[in-house]
Amino acid sequence: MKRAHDRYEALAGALLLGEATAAERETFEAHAARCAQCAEDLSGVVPLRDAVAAASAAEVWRPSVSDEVYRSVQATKVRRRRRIVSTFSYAIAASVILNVAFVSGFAGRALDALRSLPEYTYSPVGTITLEHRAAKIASLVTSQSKPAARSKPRAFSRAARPAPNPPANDSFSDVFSGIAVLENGSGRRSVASAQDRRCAERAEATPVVPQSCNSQLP
Amino acid sequence: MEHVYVLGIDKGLEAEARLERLVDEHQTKIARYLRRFVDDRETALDLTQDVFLAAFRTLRADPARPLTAGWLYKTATNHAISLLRRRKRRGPTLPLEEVGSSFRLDERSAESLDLQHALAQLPSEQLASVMLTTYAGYSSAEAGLILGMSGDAVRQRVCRAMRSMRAALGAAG
Repeated sequence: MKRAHDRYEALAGALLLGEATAAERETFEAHAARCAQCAEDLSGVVPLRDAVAAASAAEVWRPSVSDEVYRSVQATKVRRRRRIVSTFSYAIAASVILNVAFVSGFAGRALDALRSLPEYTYSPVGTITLEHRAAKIASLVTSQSKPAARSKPRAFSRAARPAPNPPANDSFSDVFSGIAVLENGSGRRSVASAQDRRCAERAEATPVVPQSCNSQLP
Repeated sequence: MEHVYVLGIDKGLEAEARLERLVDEHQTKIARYLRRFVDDRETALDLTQDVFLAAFRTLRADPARPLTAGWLYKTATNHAISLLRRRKRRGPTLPLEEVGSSFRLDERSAESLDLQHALAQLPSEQLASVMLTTYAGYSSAEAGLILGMSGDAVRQRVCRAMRSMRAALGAAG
C-alpha cells in the first residue's frame, strides 16, 4: 500500500511541476477519486508552488562576490607557489646533502685507496740496495759480539739472526722486516739473506764499519 | 582588455579565465539560491565564494572539464546541505523574524517571510528538490541528476515538501 502511495506521490509531484503526461494525469485522477489522502496532496499546493516560483522572480538582491573570489584565488595561488617553492627548496637541499655525502664518501674511499698504495715497490728484475741496512747490521754486530770469538762466520750468523719476537723499536727487526717483505717475491728472500750475510761477514772482518756496505742484489 | 589564453599553456590562467566567466554569469543566481537555503545573506555569500573556489580548483586540475550551471547548483546544494546539517547538530537557531540581515526591507513582507519560514522547516533533500525545480527552474530529471537521485524521487520529495509547507503555513496563519 505504501509503495503504491509512493508512486502516486511521484505522480502528484509531476502534476505539480507540470511534467506529467496525459496518461499519468489520468492515472492519478483515477486514483485520487477513491483516495482522499492523495486527492488532498494537490489541493491548495498549486498557489504554494507559484509563490515559490514567484519568489525567484521577485528577488531584488544583486550580490557580487567576484572581488572576494578573485582575492581568494590569488591567495590560493600564492599559497600554492610558496608550497611549491618550499618543496623544491627542501628537495634541492636534500639533493645537495646527498651529493656532498656521496662525493665526500667517494673521495674518502679514493684517498684511502691512495693511502694503501705501497711506498716502495720491488721489481722482479731490478736491484735492491741494502746500503743503510748493512750499516745498521754492522753496527749491531760490533756492539753485540766479541771480536776475538768471531773466527767463524757461523757464530755471527747465529747472533745476527733476528729474535723470534723482536721489540718493535729494534733497528735490527726493522732490517729483517724489510727482508721479510721480500718473501712475497719468489726466491728473492734467500738472495737478500745471502747478501745480508755477505755484508755481515764483511762487517766481521772489520769490527768498526763507519761507512755503508753498498752491496747490491745480483 | 581582452586576454587570449592558449589551451594547455598555463592551466592556472585558463582556470582563471573560465572562472571569471562563471562568476560573472552565475554569482547572483547562486547567491540568491543559497540564501533561500540558509536564511542569511552573509552566510549565503560565504557559501557562494566557496562554490566558486571549488570551481576554480576543479578547473585548475582539469581546464578542459565543462563546468555548467548544473555543476554550480549541485556544489551549492551540497555546501548548503552540509551547513544545514552542521547547524542542526549545533542546535536551534533564531527564528526568521529576528534575523535582521537576512532580507531587505522590501523583501520582508509577511508572505515572503512565511514562505521562507515554511521552506526552512523542510528536510534538506525536500528543500533541495523544491528549490531546484520550482525556484531554479530545473526539471525533475535534471534535479535528480544534480542531487544524485531519480526523477521520480525528486517528484515525490516535491509532493511531500508541498504538503509540509501547506501544513506549516496553515498552522502559521
